Amino acid sequence: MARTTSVGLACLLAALPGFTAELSIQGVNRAEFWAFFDSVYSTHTEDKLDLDIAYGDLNGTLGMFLYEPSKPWIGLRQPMRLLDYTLAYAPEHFEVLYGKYYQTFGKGLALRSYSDDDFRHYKSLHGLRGTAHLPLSTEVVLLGGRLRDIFFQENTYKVLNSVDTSDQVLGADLNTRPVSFLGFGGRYVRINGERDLTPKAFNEFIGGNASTTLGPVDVYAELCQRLGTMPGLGGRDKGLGYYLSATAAIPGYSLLGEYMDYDNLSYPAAGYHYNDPPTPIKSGVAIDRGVDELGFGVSGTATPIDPLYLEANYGQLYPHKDTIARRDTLVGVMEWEGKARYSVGTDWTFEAKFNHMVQQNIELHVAERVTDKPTVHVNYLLGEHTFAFEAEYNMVEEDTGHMEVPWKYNETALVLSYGWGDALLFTAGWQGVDLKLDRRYNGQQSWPMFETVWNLNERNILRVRLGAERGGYTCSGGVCRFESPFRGIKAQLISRF
Amino acid sequence: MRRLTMAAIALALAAGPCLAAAETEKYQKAPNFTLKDVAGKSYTLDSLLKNGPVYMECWDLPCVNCIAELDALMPTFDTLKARGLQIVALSVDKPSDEARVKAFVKSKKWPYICLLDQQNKVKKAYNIIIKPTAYLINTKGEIVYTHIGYKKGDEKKIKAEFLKWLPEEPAEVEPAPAPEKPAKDKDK
Repeated sequence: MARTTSVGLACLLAALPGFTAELSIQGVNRAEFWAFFDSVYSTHTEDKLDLDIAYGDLNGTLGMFLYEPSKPWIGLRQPMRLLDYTLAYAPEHFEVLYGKYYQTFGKGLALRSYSDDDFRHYKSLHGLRGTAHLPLSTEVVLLGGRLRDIFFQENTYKVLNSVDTSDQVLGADLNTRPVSFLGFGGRYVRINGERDLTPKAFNEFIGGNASTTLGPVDVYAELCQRLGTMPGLGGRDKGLGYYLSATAAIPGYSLLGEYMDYDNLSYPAAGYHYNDPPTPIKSGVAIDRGVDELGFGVSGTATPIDPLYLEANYGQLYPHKDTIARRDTLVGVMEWEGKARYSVGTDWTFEAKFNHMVQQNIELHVAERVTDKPTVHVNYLLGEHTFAFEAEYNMVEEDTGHMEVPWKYNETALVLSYGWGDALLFTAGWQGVDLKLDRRYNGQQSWPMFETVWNLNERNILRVRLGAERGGYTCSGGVCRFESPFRGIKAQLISRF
Repeated sequence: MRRLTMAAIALALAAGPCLAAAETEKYQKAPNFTLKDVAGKSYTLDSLLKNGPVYMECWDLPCVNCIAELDALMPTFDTLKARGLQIVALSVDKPSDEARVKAFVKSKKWPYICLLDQQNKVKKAYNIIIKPTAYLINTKGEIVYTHIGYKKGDEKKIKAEFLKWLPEEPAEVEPAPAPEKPAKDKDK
């Protein structure tokens, strides 16, 4: 029997090339090794392999993720070994997929699952998904799966929803654009909590959107209602959120306005969310990503004379008035930024930027942090050679809430880089702070760094970084983390095949 | 042992033609992708290649030279689009910048297919590190030219590459001479 199977397999494999479709296997591998210059020389080893396999209308992916921290940290930093796969049948008008996938409905008010490699955040769904592409630019998505939210914080990977990975997500989304100037969408998402003892512990999201294009103006509106269960108590827990945006653009000029109101919309309320609605703050800061937020943003760009580019952004996000009245502390964020860029041909580029930001109780144990940050960037291209210089001076006023006089300190960052074609890039940088801050930077004040990026060949890139990084509070699309200061060496090899 | 041998033979048989193909291949295969454009319409690379070669440039809002290259290619595109050239402006900006990208693209009036690679799926698959990086993909799905960085005047070099991979301009067919009208006067 075994021999028959082997012979059958051999025949099948041998016959495969006889079919008209071509088998293609492509992939990317990112291997990393970090050595910390601490008392125990701890290490971080990571490998992420993504393989794409396609054969006619069949395609699949195979993903391997390996994270190995060194032993002295094992209490805090747990190793992670994951093997994911996707199998999909995708002829011209539909796709049926089983395995790991990412899916966002609308602007993410009902469901947002995505990956952000730069931020090392992988919020994937695992299950079944069907997509149909119908006439009149109509797309229907039906899905069922379970969420896994992997996040990198304090120099370690964590599964943010480690206690809720069994929760079931069911969703349906329809988007149509029957005429070029008008589009509609509707969606339903249901999350069945398996570990909540409350009877019928589920959350439903019902939403819709409409968009229109009238000459130079685009308008988009999305509404979403959450119908949930009170944790532990039972009974309906209701939430509502909406997002509006309008853009107007004529050659050389654009204007964008956004308004959002999220009242008890995001679920769960803390830690991670199945839905992640947009933030109006350009640097990506949010209060609680859709639990209790009300804000707006305005952004404009102009090119009055061809090489001169101007940009201005303003955004603010605060909780609702009734919440503010209940709290004895202020919570919210406001940011404005102005940027001017001037290019002399493609040889010289000068950019100046000023950013002002007020954050109240956004970071843990920081009642208020006000920053004023001017930045200058110069880029010079000389044949195959590129020279770049960037300087940043951040004037900070920080109050922990228990201080008579707030801290006032300045953070400096200088970066100088030289690139030779696409083959080599050398960067030397220095970050510093003029006040000894034990709580924020472990009392350190200077972080020098040297980095080289070497394009070994068309398929392999090696990046080696030696020195120190200041770290700090950084955000991306409403998700924030505190990056711990780093001293040591980081090596990364990216291979494509 | 026998089972192992059988499996090895099976693999060898399956891999044989692939290896032979690899030896004759001159260009690297361009990974296929499915992405939406700024208006929400889905595109796959395979479907685009049915219409002609694709020049795909990776850009984002802070990249000055990417924008300069896309601006500079507009006259070339106008003259060559009738011969099947397609230019894809691949935005690798984050999802949070989607509204800004749409407004910016509209203000630029680029006649290209403007795709959003918010998950950086294509950026990763093509191993793009430097911006701008652009690929010319022929109708067989092979990367026949890579252009990294942009300097004023590069558009001439890029146009020369386009011309290598576009079908010959159809020779202008001279209109057949109109049949001579019977000279009424002559008859008279």
